Amino acid sequence: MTGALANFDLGALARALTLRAGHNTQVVMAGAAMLGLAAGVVGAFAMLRGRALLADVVSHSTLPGVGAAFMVGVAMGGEGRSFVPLLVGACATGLLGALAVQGITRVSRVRDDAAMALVLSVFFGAGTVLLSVIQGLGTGREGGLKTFIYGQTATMLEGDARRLGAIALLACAVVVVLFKEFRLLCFDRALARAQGWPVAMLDGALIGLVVVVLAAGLPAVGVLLVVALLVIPAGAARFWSDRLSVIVPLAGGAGMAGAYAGAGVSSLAPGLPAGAMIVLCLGGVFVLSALGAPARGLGAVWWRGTRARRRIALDHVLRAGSEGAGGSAGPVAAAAIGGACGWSGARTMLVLAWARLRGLARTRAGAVDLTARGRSEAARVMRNHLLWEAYLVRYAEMAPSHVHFAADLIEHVLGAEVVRELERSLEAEEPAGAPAEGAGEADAARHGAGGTA
Amino acid sequence: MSPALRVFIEVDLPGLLAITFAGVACAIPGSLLVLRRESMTGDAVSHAVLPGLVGAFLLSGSRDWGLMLAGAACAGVACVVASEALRRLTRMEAGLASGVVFSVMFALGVLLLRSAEHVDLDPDCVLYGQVESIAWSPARDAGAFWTWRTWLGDGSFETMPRQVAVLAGAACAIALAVGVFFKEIVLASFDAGLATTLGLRPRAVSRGLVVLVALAAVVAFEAVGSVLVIALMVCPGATARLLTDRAGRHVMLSAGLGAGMGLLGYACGAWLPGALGFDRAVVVSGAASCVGGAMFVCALVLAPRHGLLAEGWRRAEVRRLVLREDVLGALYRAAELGRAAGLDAVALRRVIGSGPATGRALRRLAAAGLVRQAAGGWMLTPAGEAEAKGIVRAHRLWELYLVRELGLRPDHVHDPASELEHLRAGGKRVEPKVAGTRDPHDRAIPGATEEAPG
Repeated sequence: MTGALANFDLGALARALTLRAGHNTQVVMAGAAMLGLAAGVVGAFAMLRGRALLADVVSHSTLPGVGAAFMVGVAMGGEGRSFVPLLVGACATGLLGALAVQGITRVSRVRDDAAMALVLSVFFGAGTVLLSVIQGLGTGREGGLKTFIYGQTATMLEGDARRLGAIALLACAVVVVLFKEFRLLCFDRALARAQGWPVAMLDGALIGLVVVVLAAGLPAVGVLLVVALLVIPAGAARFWSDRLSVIVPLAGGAGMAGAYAGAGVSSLAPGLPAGAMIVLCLGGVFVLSALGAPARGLGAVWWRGTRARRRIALDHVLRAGSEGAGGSAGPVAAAAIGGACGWSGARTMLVLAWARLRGLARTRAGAVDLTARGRSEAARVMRNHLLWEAYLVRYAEMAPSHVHFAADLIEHVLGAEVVRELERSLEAEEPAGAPAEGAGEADAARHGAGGTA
Repeated sequence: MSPALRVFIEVDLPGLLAITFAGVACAIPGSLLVLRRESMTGDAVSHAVLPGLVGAFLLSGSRDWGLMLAGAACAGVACVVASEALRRLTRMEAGLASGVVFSVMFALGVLLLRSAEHVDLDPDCVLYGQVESIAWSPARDAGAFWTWRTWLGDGSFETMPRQVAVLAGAACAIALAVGVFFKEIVLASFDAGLATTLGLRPRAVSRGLVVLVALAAVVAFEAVGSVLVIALMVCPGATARLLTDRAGRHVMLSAGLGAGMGLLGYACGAWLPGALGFDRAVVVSGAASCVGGAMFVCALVLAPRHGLLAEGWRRAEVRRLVLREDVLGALYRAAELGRAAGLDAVALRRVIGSGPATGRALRRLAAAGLVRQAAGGWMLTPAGEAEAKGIVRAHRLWELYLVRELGLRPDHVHDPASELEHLRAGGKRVEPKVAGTRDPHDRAIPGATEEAPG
C-alpha cells in the first residue's frame, strides 16, 4: 500500500470532484458519470427481472467480440481501436452469450446456473485466446486492447465522453418510454402475456439495453468489473424504497455519483486503476445504503427489531409483576420476574431499568412494584391476551388448554383497532356475559393450579 | 535422450502435469456445484480470492505460497459467507448479493495489485495463470531417465516445481474428502429434509463444499488463472450431466473430463499454433476453456441419451412409426369402404397430408411385405391387414371410450383417438377397457365383442 496511495492528497481530490482539475479530468469524469447513469437505470430493471447474473455472463462474453472487431479492423487497414466497431463487436458476442445461455437451458437438461457459468468461462477464454493471437500478430497497435480487461479512463477523449452521454440519453429515453411495460415485465409476466404485450420482445429489449450499456462501459471499467456498474447501484437503491418509480432514478443517481467519484479519485495518481476505483466507490455507496437506508437498511431493520423486542420484554415484566403479586398490589422479587421470563440477571436488570425509565415500575431492595400506569398497562396486556384466547376458543374452535401460547405471541402486537374489533365480535356473539372474563376465569384457574403445584 | 524429449520433460511436462491436476482438483467440487445448481458460486469464489492472495502477499512481504493460499482461501470463504448473510438479512436476490460482494472484492484486489509498486505479481498472471512458465530442471544424467531406481534415488522429485506438487496434493485431498463424505454430500444435496431427519446437517455439508471450492480455486488460480478456474469447475460437470444420470459416475466422469480438458487445452495452446505454422503459442488457459466449451458442445450434440442427435433420432423414429400406422389405417379404411382397387399415392397423401415421407413409408411397408402395389394403387397384403386391423380397432375403441366414459361429443373424438391409437406399452398396443362392437360413427370395430377386452 505504499505506492500510489501514499501520495494521496485531499486537496487534489476536492479539486477533481468539483471539476477544477483540468480539462482532461473533467472529460473523464463527465463520461464516467454518464456511464454510471445509464448503467444504474438499466441495472434497476435488470435486477428486478432477475438478470443480475446474466449481466455478468454478457459482460464476460463481450471480450471475443472486442478481439474479433479489432482483428477485422486491422485487416481492413484501419486503426483497429476505434470506438464504434469495437462496441458493435462487443454487443454482438455479448448478445450471443445471452442467447447461448437461453438456448442451452431450453434444449438440454443443463440448468441455467451451469449454462451461465459455462458460457461465461468459454466465451471469456475464447476472448483471451483472440487477444493473445492479436499480440502475436505484432501490428503494434494492440497495446490499447489490454485496457479492455481492467479498464482505463485516462485515454477517454471528448468524443468518447459524448458518445457515453448519447448512450445514457438513449437508455434513459427507452426506460422512460417503456417504463410501464418494463414494470409489468419485471413484476407480473403472466399478466403481461394475458394482456397481449409482446413479452419476449420486451425481454429482448431489456437484454439489448443491458448489452449496450455493458459494452459501452468496457473501455473505462474493463470486462471483469463492468457488471458491477449495473448490479451495485440497483442493489443500493433497493434499500431506500419499495417503489419502482423511486428505485430507478435513485439507481441512476447512485451509479452516476459512484462513477463520478471513482473517476475523480483515480485521476489523482496514474497507478490507480479507474475501473476498480469506480467499483469501490459504488461499493461504498452500497455499504452506506445497506447500513443506513431508512426503509430496508440493516440499521433500520435492526432498530425496528430491537424496539419490538424491548416492548415485548416490558410486556413480560408487566405481566409477571401483576400476576406474581396474585392480583394484590404487593411487590415482586426481580429475580422471580427474570426467572419467569427465562432471562439472565444482567438482562433482567436492563429491562427493569427500562421499565423504571418509562415510569411503569419501581424497584426497592430487589423487589419490583408496578406504578399506577404500569398496572393499567399490565391490565391492557392481560386483556389482549384474554381477548385473543376467547377469540381462539370461540371462532378457531381450539381447546381452552391449547390457546395460551398462541395468545402469548399475539398479545404484544394487537393494535387498538383489532382490539375493538375483537370486543365487538365477542360481544355480538354473547351480549349477556362478558366473554373475556369467562376465558379469564379459566386462565386464572390454570395459573393458580400452576402456582400451587 | 533426444533433445526434443529433454525439452518436453523440462518445459512441457510440468505445465501438463499442473493443468491436469488443476483439472481434477477443480472438476470434482465443480461437478457437485453443477448438481446443486450453485455453479455461479465457482465464479464468485474465483473472483473473490484475488484480494486474499494479494493482501497476504503485501502483508507478509514475501511470496510465501502457504500464506498466500491461506489468505486467498479465507477471502473465498468470506465472499460466500458475506453474500449469504446479505441475502438472509436483507432478503436480497441471491445472484444480486453475490454479484455485489464478489465484484467489490475483486475491485479491491485489482486496486491492491496495482497500487503496490514493488509487487512482482503480474496482473496477467491473475487472469491467465502461468502454466507456460512452469519449468523443471531435473538434476540428472540424460541416459538413465526412465529408470525407477534413479527416479526414487536422486531426489529429482524434490526439484519438481512447487505448483505441480501443490496441485497434485490438493487434487488428492479433494478427491479423498469427496470420496469419504460422498454419501452425506449426495443426500444433503438432493434431499435436505431427509438429511436433516437422519441427523445430518445440510448447512454444514454446504459449508464444507464451499471450503473445497475455495481450496480448488485457490491452488488452481495461482497456476492456471481465474478464467480457467471457472471453466474447469463448470465445463466438465455440465458435460458429464449430459452423459450420465448417476451422481457417483457424474463426479468421476467430471474428474476425468477435467483432466482431459487440461491436457487437450495445453496441446491446443502450446503446440497447435506451432503445428499450424504460427510462430507464437496462444495462452494455454484460454485454449483450455475453449476445449471445455467444445467438449460441452460435442456432448450436447452427440451424447448417447441426452444429446440432440439421439433425441432427434428418437423423435424421428416415433414420427416414422406413426406415419406407417397412419398409412396402414388409411388403406384398411379404403378397403372397408369397398375400394377394391386400393388407393394410389396421391389419394394417400391427401388423406395423410405428408408428401415425400409417405412415399418412403410405403416403400418400407412394401419391403416388409405389409402392402403391395396393384394396378389401381396400393393395397394391404394379408399380413398388413392383420396389423391394420389392430390399429383401426384401437382407434375405434378409443373413440367409443371417449364418448362413453369421458362424455365427449362424437364429432370431437376422431382427432384425440388418432393420437391415442399409437400408444404402446411394453411392446403391445394399448386399448381402453370398453365393451362394444360399433364405434360412435356406427362403424364396426374389428374383432370386438360385447364384453370389454382384457
